[in-house]
Amino acid sequence: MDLVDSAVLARLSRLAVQARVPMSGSINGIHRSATRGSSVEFAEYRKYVPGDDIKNLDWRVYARTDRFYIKEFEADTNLRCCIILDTSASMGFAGDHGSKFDYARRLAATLAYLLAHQGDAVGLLSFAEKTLTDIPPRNSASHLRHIFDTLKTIEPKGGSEIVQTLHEAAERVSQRALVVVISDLFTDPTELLDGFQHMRFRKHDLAVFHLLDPQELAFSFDRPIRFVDMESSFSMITDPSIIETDYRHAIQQYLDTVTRGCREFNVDYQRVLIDTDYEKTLASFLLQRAGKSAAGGRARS
Amino acid sequence: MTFLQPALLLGLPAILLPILIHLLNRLRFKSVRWAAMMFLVSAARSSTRHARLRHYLILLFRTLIILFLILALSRPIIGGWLGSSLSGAPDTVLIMLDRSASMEDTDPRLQSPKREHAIQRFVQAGESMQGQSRYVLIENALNMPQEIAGTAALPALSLTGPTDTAANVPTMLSAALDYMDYNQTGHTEIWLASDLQASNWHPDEGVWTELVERLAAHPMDVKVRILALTSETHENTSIALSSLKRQSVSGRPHLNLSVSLQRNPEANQRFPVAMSLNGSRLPEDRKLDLDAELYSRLLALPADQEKTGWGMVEIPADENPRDNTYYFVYDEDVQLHTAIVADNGDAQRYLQLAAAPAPQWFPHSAETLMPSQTTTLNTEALSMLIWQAGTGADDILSTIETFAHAGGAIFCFPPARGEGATQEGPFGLRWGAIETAPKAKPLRVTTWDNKDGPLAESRDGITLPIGQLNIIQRQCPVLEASDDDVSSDRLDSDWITLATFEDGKPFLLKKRVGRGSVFVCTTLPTPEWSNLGEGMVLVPMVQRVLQEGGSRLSARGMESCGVWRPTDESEPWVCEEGDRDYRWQAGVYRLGSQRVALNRPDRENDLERVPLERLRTLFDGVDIQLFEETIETARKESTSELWPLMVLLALLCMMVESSLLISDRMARRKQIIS
Repeated sequence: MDLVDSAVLARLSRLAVQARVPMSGSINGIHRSATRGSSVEFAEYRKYVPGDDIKNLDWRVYARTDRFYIKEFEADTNLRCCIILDTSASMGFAGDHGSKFDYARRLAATLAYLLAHQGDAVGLLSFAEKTLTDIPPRNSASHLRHIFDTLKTIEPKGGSEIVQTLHEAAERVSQRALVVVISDLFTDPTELLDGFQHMRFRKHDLAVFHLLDPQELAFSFDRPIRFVDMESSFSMITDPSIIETDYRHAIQQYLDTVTRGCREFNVDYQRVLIDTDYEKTLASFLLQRAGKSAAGGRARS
Repeated sequence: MTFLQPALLLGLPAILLPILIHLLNRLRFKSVRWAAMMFLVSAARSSTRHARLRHYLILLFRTLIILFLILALSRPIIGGWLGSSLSGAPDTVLIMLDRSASMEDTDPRLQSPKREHAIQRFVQAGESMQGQSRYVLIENALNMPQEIAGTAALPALSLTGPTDTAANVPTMLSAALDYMDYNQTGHTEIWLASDLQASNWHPDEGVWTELVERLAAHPMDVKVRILALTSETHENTSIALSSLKRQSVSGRPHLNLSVSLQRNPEANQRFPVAMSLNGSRLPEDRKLDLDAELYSRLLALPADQEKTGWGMVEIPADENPRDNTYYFVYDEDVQLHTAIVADNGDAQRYLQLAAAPAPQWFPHSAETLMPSQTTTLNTEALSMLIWQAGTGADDILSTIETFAHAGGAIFCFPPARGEGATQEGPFGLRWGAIETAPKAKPLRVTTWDNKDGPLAESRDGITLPIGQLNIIQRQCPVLEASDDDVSSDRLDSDWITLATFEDGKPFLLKKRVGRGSVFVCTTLPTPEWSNLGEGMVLVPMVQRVLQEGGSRLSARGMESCGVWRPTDESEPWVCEEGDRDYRWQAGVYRLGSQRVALNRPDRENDLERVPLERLRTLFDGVDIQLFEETIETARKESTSELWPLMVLLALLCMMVESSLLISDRMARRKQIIS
C-alpha cells in the first residue's frame, strides 16, 4: 500500500505547515521563535538595561526622547512535530470507505513528508494499550523513510490507552512542539480533555484528527445485530431500532463535549469522517492553520 | 357472548404472529464487529425505558389489531344491558307483506285497502327508526327476499301492488328464516302484515312447530311484529264460476255458465252481472234478485268462435275490487286416450277401468297391450301411458321417453316380478324386491300431499280416503345411483315423493321429464296386492294423471293465480287483456293455441280468521308484538352485534400503532439530519 501519493504531495507542498504558537527550534526555520532574533521583522522596543549590546540601541529614538531603547527583531526557527497515532483495534473498523486506520496512516505519512519537506523535525509515536513505537522528531530523509516503514508495519490491535499516552507524551516532549493526535478518541471525554489540557499546559501546539466512520454516526440497521467489541471479547445482541435513538443521543453528547473542551483548551480539533478525501482534509487543516497563524499575529504564548 | 361465525375463532392463534415475527427476527441476528461500543452500552442502558416501552406498545397494538379483526369476522353478539345499549336499530328488518286478494278489502274505518294501509304503517315505522337498518321485502306472490333501499320506497314498488294470489304465511316465514340463516342478518326484526286469513296461515299444520323452533333457537334475538288487519268488509260480493259446460242446443254450440256469488249480509242485493266473450262485451244482464247465489246463463257461441275462446264475468266495484271478475276459457272436448302396457291381466283390467271409467259419459278411451305388442304403440294421440311391465325393448323405451318429453304422462306400476334391482324399465327405473305384509296388519299410507298432485283433495274440499288403503304387497323402485352407473336419470333428488308409507318408503313418486311427468305407484290394484282396485283412490289418481297428460292436447285450462306456473318459465305467455304478469295477476294468458284462465284461488273467499290468542299460541316461545293498526318500534332489551365495534377498535389500534411508528421515524430522521 502506498502511504503517500506524489500528486497529492505536489499539490499540498505549496501550503506550509504552520505552527500556531512560537516554537523553540534549534536551527533557523520558517516558524516564529519564542526568543528574539535577527530576522528583519521588527518585534518591539524595550528599555536599555546595563549589559545589553549597545549596537542594538536605536539612536534615532535616543535623539528624540533622550532615553535609551533597544530595538528587537523576531527570530525564525524550525518546528518539532510529534505525530501520535492510535493503533488500537477500534481504529481497524472498516465501513464502506475502508478502515479508519488506513486513513490515519495516510494522514500521518503525508503530514510527516510535508513537515520534513519544509525542514522541520518530525517524529512518530504509536500506541494501543501502551506505547508501541516512539520515533523522536528528526529532520533527515532516512528518518522520514524510517517513519514510513514503521507506518507500513503497524496493524491495529488491542485496547486504547490514549489518555495515559497523552500524559506521557506531554512530559516526554521537552521543548515546545506541534503535537498531532490521530485517533477515534473512543474513551471517556473528561479524561481525554485532561490529557489535552496537560498537553497545552506544556505549551505544545496540539492538533487532533478525530476519525469517525459515517456508519458509526448513522447507526442504520434494520434487524437485530450481535455487536462484538473490537477491543475486547464483549458482545451484545440488541434490536437497533430500540436503541438507535439513545445511541445517537449518546454519541452526539460525546462529540459536543469533546468539541467544547477542545475549544476551551485551544486545541486544533478536526472531526474527520473517513468518507472525506484525505487530501481535502489535510488541505483544510493546513489552510485553517495558515489563516490562524496570520490572524493570530505575533501573540506570544 | 356468542358468535355467528365461530369457525373463524380458530384463527385466534394468529394474534401471536407479530410476537413470533419479532422473536424470529431476534434469532436471525448477524454479527457486526463494532468500534463505538461505549455508546452502544450507554444507549442500551438508557433505552430500556422509553424506546423499549414504545417497541412493546407497537407489538401490543399489532397483536390487538389482529385480535379485533378476527373477532369482527367471527361476528360476536352480546346480550343483556350491554347488548341493549349497543343495539340501536336492528341490523335487518324483514318486511313480510301479505298482498293476497283478500288484502284488497277496503277497511271501512281506514278508507283504504288493507295492503295500502299496511304499507303506510311500514313507511311510518321505518321513518321512526333511528340508525341504519337493511330492509328486505318478502311478499307472498314470489316468496323471494328482495333487498330494498328503505320503507319509503315501498309504495312505488311493483312487488307491493295488489295481486290475485293467495298467501302462504308459513312458506313466507320459512323463506325469511332461510334468508336470515344464509345471509347472517345479525339483529333482525320481522314485520309481518296480514289479514290473518286462516286459509293463508294454515294454523293447524305441523310446519309451524318447526318454524317456531327455528325462530326461538336463532342465535340472534329475533323479534316478530305482526300488524293484524282483521277488520271485516260489510258490503262486499265476490263472483266465481262454479261450472262451465260447452253443450249443443238446437244443433248450435252454447256455453252453459254457472256463476256463484258470495256476499256479505249488508252487501248490495241487486246489481248487474256483465259478461264478455273473446274481448267483446255482451249486453248487461238484468238486476239479480235478492237471495240469488247461483246464477246460470246459456251463451250462444258465435260461429267463428265456436271451437275455442275466452271470456269473463264481472260485477260492479265494491269494497274489494279483486273478487269482482272471473275469467274462463273454453275449448272443444278432447278425447283423452290411454295405453296400458301390462303383464298382469287383473291389474290390466283394473287400470283400464280407472283410465276410462264411463265411456258413455266421458270421452276417454283406453287400450291394453302386452309388452310384446308395444312395437305398434302410437303416442301421437296418447295422453297417458300406464306401464306395468318389467323391461322393454330399447326402441320402445326411447319412444316412451320422447312421449314424456313432449308433455305426456307416464304412470308406472310394479312389474310384480322379483327381478331385483338388476333390470331397468323406462327412465332407468329399477324395481326392488317384492315386500309382503301380513294380511292382519297391512301397510298404510300415512302422509301424502293433499294440496296438489294426483292425491289432492277435490275442489269441493273432500279428501281422498287414502288412509283406508290396505296394502299387502309393495315393490319400491331403487332410486339411488349405483357405483358403476352414474347416469343422471337415476339420481334420487329428481324424484319427488308425493305419498309415503308409515315406514317412510314411498307410495307415490313423481319426476318431471321435459314437459311431461312420470309417476310411480308402488303397489298394484289387484286383491293380492291391495284394495286400491276399489277405485276410491285409484280412479281420481289415474284421472288426474290423465288430465295432466292430456293438457298438451287441449287449449283449455282454468287455474289458480299464483299457483299455476308454465312448464318452462321462459315461455312467453301473454295476456289477452293488456300487459299483466301471470305470477300475480288474474286474466287469460295465451301461448300459441294454448290458453289458461287464472283467477284468484277459491280459498281467498274464506272469511275465517286466525284469532289473536291462537296467533300468540302459534308463536309460543318467540318474542312477538301484535298490533292491530300500527307498528310500534319501541326498543326492549335485546342482543347486538359487536363487529362494528371490533372494526372500530382495530382501526383505533392501527392509528395508535401508526402514530408510534411515525413519531419514531421522525425522531430518527431528526437525529440523522442533526
